[in-house]
Amino acid sequence: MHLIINNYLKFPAYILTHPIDGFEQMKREKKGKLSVAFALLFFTCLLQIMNYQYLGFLVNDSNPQELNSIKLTSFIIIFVLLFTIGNWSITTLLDGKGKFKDIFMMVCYSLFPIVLIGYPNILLSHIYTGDEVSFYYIAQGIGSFLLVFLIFLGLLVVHEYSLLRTVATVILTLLAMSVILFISLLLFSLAQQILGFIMGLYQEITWRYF
Amino acid sequence: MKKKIFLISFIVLSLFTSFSVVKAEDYEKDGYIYSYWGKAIPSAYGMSHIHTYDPYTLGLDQLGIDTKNPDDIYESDWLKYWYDHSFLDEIARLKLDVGIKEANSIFHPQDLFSYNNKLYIVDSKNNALLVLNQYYQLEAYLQLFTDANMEDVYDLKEPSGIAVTDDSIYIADTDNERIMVLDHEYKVKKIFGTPEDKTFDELAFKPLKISVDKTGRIYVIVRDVFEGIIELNSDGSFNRYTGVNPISMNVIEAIWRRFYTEEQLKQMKLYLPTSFTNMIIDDLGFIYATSKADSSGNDQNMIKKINTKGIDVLKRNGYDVPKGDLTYIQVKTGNLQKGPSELVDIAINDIGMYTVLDQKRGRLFTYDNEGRLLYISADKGDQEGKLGNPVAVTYFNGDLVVLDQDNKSLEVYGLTEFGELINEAIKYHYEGDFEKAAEVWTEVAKLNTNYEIAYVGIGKSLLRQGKYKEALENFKLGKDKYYYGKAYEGYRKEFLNNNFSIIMTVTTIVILYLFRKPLIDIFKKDREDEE
Repeated sequence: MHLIINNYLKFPAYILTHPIDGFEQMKREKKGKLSVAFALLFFTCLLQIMNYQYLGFLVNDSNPQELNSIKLTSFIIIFVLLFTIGNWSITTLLDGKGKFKDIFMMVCYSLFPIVLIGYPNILLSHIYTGDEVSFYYIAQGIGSFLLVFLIFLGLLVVHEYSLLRTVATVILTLLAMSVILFISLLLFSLAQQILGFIMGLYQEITWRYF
Repeated sequence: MKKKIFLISFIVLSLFTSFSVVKAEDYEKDGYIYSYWGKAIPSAYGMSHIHTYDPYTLGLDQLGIDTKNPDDIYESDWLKYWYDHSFLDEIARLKLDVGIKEANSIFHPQDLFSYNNKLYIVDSKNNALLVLNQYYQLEAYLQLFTDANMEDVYDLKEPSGIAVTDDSIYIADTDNERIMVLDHEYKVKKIFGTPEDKTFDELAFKPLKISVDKTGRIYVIVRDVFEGIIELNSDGSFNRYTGVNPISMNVIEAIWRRFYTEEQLKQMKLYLPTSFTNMIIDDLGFIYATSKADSSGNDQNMIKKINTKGIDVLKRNGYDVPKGDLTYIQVKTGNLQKGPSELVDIAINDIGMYTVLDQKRGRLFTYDNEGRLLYISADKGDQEGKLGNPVAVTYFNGDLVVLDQDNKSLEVYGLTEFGELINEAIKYHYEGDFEKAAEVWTEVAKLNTNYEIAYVGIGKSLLRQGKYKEALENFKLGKDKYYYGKAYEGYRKEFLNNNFSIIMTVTTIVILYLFRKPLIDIFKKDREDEE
């Protein structure tokens, strides 16, 4: 029990309060655990679904008839994977010291403030009246700011970069991400067309000869 | 492993493929309305077709055939009445006969106006003014007009707009490039030609639609004029432009245009503000005007309520901006029309409601004074009661009269039971009687449980009575966040008041438990001190 609290709460909280030290320890002293990273990712995905379905009426703009949990979760997972792959492929070329696992864990641990703020926010959103709704949005804003802040510092520590270099790699990472997205979309449409062609061919043959 | 790969690829593929959109067309058989989510959901028609008045029931065919033999005309009583009361001298009457014979279409209505239980219609191919009484009987059919002294004879040339006030009838005589003002005995009072403005140095003054306010100021929509509605003084002199439609161009396009050469710019389509299609002025002097979506597809302010300063003050408090259909197909498939609604006319009634006519899909959209969509009626089609090419609409004795050029007819739409209830509720709401409105809204909700506005109406009444919990449920059904917040404030206060003792007890216990260590320490210290 003690170990679980330590791994799942205390260490992520330590990273949140001391990002540079925390990420250093995560990488060097192997304090970070892959299982924890996956758990944080899972809770972020769950949060997305909960946000869609259980958010208070005043801040909830989603149509319950269109809940698609796969769509919601895949958005998070695709973003995390895309960022990790994009960053890894850039930083290996620019002598970053971080391994793929390090980057992935760093991104997942950075999701901690989102999880920490998100769940209580769902509960609180039911208590707010019309004017107090802004508290909800402030909290959400703080959460997203912390996420970006942590990822940025995380990159700096994991790759042992200078500040300027981190900024440059972040821009290159975004570029790499868009290239990956473009190619994968291209691939998908190509696959669809080939599939359609084969299906059409099959249909033609069956109609003609059988 | 293979199964896993298959499953994963299936899930990923399914993300990229299935996008189904519910279109209004899916429900067009039984009527529909747009929900809070902007989706078409089934609903009853607010107004249903009750009668068609074609040229034959109006007696227009007899006008054309029988003019050669005046005796035949007198067979029907109303025509005799018309002939006796047409106030034309002999020459004019002779010309009238000729005029009717030359007509190439029996009925080609262009615009209509209802005033004092009478319908005034202009016919743009027969160049005629028709006046119908409240039983839709022809009272006058005029193609030639004289002035009070019977000195001159005036005709119309493709008239396309009409407006009637207490003392005059105004006709936008388009191809004659003038505005004709008649008195109520159909004698020409005044003729207003091209107003003196530099716009018309190069451009012909072709008035399309006309409207007149209580002080006699004339508002004219002119063909190919994009500066707005022209406001003329009561003596016909130019005053100003009003209600300008702003041009919208996105940033990227604006940047690109900087790099184009003169030649390229010439070839591109012009960026013009959209022109107005029709208008009507209410008792308070507000101009309700409709316009087309502009070239960049901006359809947010197709309906406008222009005040005397020329500013658009239309309330848009509904779930969506009033603009006709919300979902429509982007690419033409089959015989379905693509693109946003094409609003060609607007009708207002005395409780602030207005109905716009969509020419593209032949639909009538009725909104209340808050801009909330109330009901959608009519549809395009060849069957009886459907519209072919509707051009104008007006409220007439509580019914809606639509002019249809393809069917050459007047289509009258009357309120259904559903529409009647809604109108009643809106009327009470307009008068501020929320209790009575809520009663009617309950009836509406019984007829259509998906009718979201009804729940807001019920909720407002409950909120006033202090029944916060019930109000909350209704506002949630009506998706009204503003009033939900208000009701919730009351509900929370009530809840805290009723359960104050329990809440305080629990919090005290929790605080005591949390601070038990320092508290015990203090007690111990006290005891030690005492000892």
